[in-house]
Amino acid sequence: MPAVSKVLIANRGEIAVRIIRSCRAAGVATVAVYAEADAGAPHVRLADTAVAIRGASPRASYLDVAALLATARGAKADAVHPGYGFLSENAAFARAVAEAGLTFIGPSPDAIATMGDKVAARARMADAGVPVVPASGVLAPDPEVFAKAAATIGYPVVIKAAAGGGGKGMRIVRDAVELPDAIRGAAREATAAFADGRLYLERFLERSRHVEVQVFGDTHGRIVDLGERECSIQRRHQKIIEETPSPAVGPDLRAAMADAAIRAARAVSYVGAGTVEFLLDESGRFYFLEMNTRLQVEHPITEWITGLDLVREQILVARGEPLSFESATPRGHALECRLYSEDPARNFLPATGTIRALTAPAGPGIRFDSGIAPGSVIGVDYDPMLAKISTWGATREEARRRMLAALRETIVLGVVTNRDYLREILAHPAFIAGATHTEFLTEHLPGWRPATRDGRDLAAVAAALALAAPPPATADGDPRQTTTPSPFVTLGGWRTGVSTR
Amino acid sequence: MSVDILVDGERVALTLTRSGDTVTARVGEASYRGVVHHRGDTWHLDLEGCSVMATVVRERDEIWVALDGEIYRCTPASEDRNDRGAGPGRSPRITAPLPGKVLDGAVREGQQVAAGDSLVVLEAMKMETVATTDAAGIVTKIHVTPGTMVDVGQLLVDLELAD
Repeated sequence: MPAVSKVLIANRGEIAVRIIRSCRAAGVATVAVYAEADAGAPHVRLADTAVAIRGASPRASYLDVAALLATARGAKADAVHPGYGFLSENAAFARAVAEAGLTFIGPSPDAIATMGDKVAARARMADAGVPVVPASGVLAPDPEVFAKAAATIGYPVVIKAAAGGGGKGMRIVRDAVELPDAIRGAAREATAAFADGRLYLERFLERSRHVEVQVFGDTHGRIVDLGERECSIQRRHQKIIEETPSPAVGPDLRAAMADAAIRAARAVSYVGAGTVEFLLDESGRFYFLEMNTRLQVEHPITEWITGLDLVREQILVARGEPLSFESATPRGHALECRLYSEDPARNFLPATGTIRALTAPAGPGIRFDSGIAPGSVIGVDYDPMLAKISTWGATREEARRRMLAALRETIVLGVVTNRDYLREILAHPAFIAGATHTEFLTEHLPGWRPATRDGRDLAAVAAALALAAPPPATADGDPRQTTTPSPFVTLGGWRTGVSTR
Repeated sequence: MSVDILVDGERVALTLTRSGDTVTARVGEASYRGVVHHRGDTWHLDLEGCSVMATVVRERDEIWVALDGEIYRCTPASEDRNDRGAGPGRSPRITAPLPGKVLDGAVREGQQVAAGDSLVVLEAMKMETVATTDAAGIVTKIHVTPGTMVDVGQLLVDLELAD
């Protein structure tokens, strides 16, 4: 049986932290890798060993296959966990890990490759009897070619990247005149994200829901489903709120979707954790979108309702052991919110800065996964997700109320976040009613601006006190010098300007 | 001392006076009076009628205040530079809203543009962001070419406003 006793984690941020935690609980040692800029990051502190990888850029460090494998060898690791993003769905990496004599914690390179080519995967799924959305094959990047295909499929259409996923290289097109710009933008984004600019067209289903099924396979021929997750609340075609179970899925539909998901996984002899994504239309029909051959960002909500630790199951499966459970009995309801450093009032523009204060939420049914700490610099090199807040409740309403309480307690100072936007979505009557779909945010919260709050004037008073302080005396970059201007120093400063007695 | 603070973009004009350790702040009709002390980032505002605790930190030219579960981003109004792309103020100088790489100039010099039009496409954090104009006008000068790395606030495009 393959040994998994020391795992190199080829990732950073919250997912690296989350993997280290499960490894530690399972008695498995961990090796973190980090780019120079991440030297003080939580995943580096938490791992048993941490090794710097000097890449050409901060991102390149986590993508350098040769350096990662050399590090694994040097640290005597026997397995590699890729997390999500970076090299997690790179078949060549999975193959290279195996060829280096290490265990890749994930599916086979063949399964990754098949599902990674979205056009080939669709064809494979259609053959396996899984319903798919009407679509074209890969098209030449010529507006006329796209216009012809779109006319056959019927508008609105969505341009997608053949290598794609994660909302990268996606453009919704409602009219042929929009095609030239959309093709150019999608090709550029796809090339940047996947080094592959190939595009295809799919029918765009209005007001549909994004519902995905968590599947898990082991090397003993078992493939099970762990229920669905609804991920319809999206901006830039990327999820920001997920929940399970879906308010739109009843027992019959759940059984049908689970059956289709397991059929999809079987078609590629799937081993490990995977997710089959579907679109669910207003009439209750569902269509295969893609299969993600890795642990998803939103896996904690499945862990909440099943009581399982999916990373632990991944380790068991990688060792060749059977899954630890016979069947998963879901209990209650779970929600997840993704906290992003971005400004929802300015078209979700990524925000940069340094985190100067951080308070994590806690309490019954509340989980906080993050890879940030006070002093963390949020730059432009990595995905702007700061943390995931997930809550569990016996009912959806209890989970929702806990989420509102958790978000209120989540304090990140120094960078703009989408926290208050998330709170407003959760408080929206349509969300409370469970009436979610992929255009929910543009329909219900267009032109969102932060509300004026009761404490505004008092905050201005505190800011005025802080600002009137003299500039920091030292220039050595000690953050404490700049973060704690003393009001008493401030008061001293006023005397020259204001006659107070 | 009178000072204007922008709280999440909204202007708050206030007057501060001090008598001994007692601070008095007037904001419009309201007035706050009491003692302010702090330990590290934690501030205690012991005011007549209410006593509140806040977290107050500084990041660049911004003061961040967390108060009663709410977060406020405050900047001195006089330092509110109008250099943020399509932000308020109908700026004829379009600047980079964040550091990144210029992918594409969506416009040519001499071109007429309408409010909301994309002028330059930038890539940062693996995503595309467009610098737009909030006013109609004519592009007089483009300062960057595809591939240029730009810093936040760097000038991208000059416009001559239509009105």
